[in-house]
Amino acid sequence: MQMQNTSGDNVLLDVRDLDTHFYGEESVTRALGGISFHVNRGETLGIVGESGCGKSVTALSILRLLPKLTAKTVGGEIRFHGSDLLKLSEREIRKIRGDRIAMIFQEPMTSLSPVHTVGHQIAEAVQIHTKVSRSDALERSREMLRLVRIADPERRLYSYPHEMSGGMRQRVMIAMALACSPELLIADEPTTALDVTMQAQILRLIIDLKQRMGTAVMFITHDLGVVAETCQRVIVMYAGRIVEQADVLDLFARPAHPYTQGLMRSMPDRRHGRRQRLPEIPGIVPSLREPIVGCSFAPRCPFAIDICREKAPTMRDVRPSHAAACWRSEEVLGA
Amino acid sequence: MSGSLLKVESLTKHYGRGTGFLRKTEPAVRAVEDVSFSVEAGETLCIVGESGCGKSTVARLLMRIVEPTAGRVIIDGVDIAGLKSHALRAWRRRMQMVFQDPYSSLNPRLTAGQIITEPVENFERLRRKQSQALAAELLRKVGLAPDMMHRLPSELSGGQRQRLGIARALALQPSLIIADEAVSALDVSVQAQILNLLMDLQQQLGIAFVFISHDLSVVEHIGHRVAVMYLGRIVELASCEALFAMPVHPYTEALIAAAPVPDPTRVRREVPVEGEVPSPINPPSGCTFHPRCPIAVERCRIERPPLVPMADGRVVACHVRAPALDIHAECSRKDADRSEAVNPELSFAVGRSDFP
Ligand SMILES: Nc1ncnc2c1ncn2[C@@H]1O[C@H](COP(=O)(O)OP(=O)(O)O)[C@@H](O)[C@H]1O
Ligand code: SF4
Ligand SMILES: [Mg+2]
Repeated sequence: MQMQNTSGDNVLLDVRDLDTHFYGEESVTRALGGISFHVNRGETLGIVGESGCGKSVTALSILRLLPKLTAKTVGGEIRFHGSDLLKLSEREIRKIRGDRIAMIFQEPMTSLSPVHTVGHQIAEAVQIHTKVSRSDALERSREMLRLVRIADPERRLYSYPHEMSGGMRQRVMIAMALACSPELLIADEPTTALDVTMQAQILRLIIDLKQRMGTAVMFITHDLGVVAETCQRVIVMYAGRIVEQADVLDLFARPAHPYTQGLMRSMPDRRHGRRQRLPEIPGIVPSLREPIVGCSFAPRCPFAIDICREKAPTMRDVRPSHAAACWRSEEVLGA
Repeated sequence: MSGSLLKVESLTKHYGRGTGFLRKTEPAVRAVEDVSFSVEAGETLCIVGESGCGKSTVARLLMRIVEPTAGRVIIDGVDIAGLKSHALRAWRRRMQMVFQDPYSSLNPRLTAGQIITEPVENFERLRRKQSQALAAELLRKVGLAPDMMHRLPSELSGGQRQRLGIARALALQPSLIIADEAVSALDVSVQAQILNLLMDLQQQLGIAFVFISHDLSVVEHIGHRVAVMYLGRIVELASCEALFAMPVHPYTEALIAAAPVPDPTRVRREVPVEGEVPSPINPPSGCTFHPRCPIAVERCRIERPPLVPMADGRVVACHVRAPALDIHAECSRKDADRSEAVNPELSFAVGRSDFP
């Protein structure tokens, strides 16, 4: 795959220096510390990292769905079709949400209404964004339920979400999200709450539909296995920053950031030999309530040297289409 | 076989059928059906399966948090299912539990020190000095600094809280710890720390684990033997090596194939099974896996397959992969006699009444 430069035609969404803060009673949490990345048309971009690293906040910042009273995106740009999503009026962003950029969550019940039938809700989503008749919208619901492979779609049109299993509800969410053929689907841990056999089915469904409809997918997950199976390009986040960015094959073959390397090594895997101690990443993630000086991974990093504790590393290419924010990537790659 | 630390025989739990007038007509949830296994001292027996398959109910039955509908739980030769609460207390010391969510299982108002010494204080009064010394020792055992004893759970990270839960379980020096999804809520890097801790403790203290998890890569890494459950029943029980090298039951096969593998060069395989787990209120006839099974035959819809011992010592409940032919049974019975000492499951399966 070819590296796209950020002004190329192929770039669908371009995020620059995104900075989002949460305001508590006594402290400010700097959830995103100026992250930059882009999503190409039709690609699947994985965003991976451990809990609290800022994956969900990134998604919510893009769609401007952050809690109004406690959170604010204080800096950066989100370019989408020539405009900055951060500068749009509430009305304009609402037109984009669900129509050109859709989102699905880990828990589908947070975005499904308990008092309306599934068919009604999908039709509603269609009618908000397109001028179609009710019967056409319902027809579209039917078609979408079929597309997401819900058994007995005719009957399910008239079901309520609580009458469905978790896996089926996630299918409905996907049907609703894709009903307006968005250019970008943001999927935040869509299979984390599901059992493995259901997860396999939903992952396959998302990949199939993405290919059929040409939708780009931003796939947020904490699971490197899911990343390996679904994504083409990957961003690794740590403590509110992006630490590495690469094609999926490259990332797994040659992780260039000590955190990525540590994550991959600490997974139980046949390579380690059964019942052998797993390589640990010592320590814990830093608090985002205090300013982080230098590299945020330095206190846990086996490669850290003086400069790491003094100056934050910026993203730089270690190879074509592979970048890492680490002063010592060359040594990391050699290790 | 008498040497087993824990023996579970035909354990069964049906929920929701009370004695009340109306409740009689309610269908029972068949959470656990006829589950048997044993745990040897110092070994890790894993139980895997998807949500609702009965894993956690087995854990609760072992701890006597819920009462079994039928079956026996034998520790050191004593059936604890029959014990009254007073006698039970002593046996409970031998078994402790670690939960998935360290936060909700720890009292938020107690300090770390109070939390981990509480189980001991339930049995004997400790002086302040003794209790502090005990707390410090337990904290050190789980890799926490002794001065953490003054902190509240809310002041600890997720991994530290899980260490605290383990320290608490260690306080009574149990020979068996039941860990129900104990690492499932943790991030991989923290998960590695806790898995290492559990393996270290087993090596140093000879503790046996019943390790319940839905994560196959974790189970493969730390288990000695593994039981696969589907809709309340064990469908396959084998050594970890054997099970992951060659799953025999089609459900085990599907579970392993469905687990995402962190290797992007691997060829994408087909989705192993479609559909979802049916309700345990009205489980399918015959083999409960038959509606989703890719290799099911007519017999599977009609007749429930018994657990049949295989040549390598595992037991499998599948008409196609482990047919319970008499001749097969004969062979296995001979094998079983020979290998009884190393493989308790074999003799139990052969001794079962539904085995031809
Ligand atoms: N509603 C909120 N109020 C306050 N802080 C929040 C809120 N949501 C997220 N945060 C903080 O923002 C940071 C990033 O969180 P999040 O994006 O949810 O992480 P992830 O999705 O990667 O697990 C964390 O420090 C988290 O505690
Ligand atoms: S910059 Fe330094 S501390 Fe940060 S990851 Fe690289 S080597 Fe480690
Ligand atoms: Mg999240």
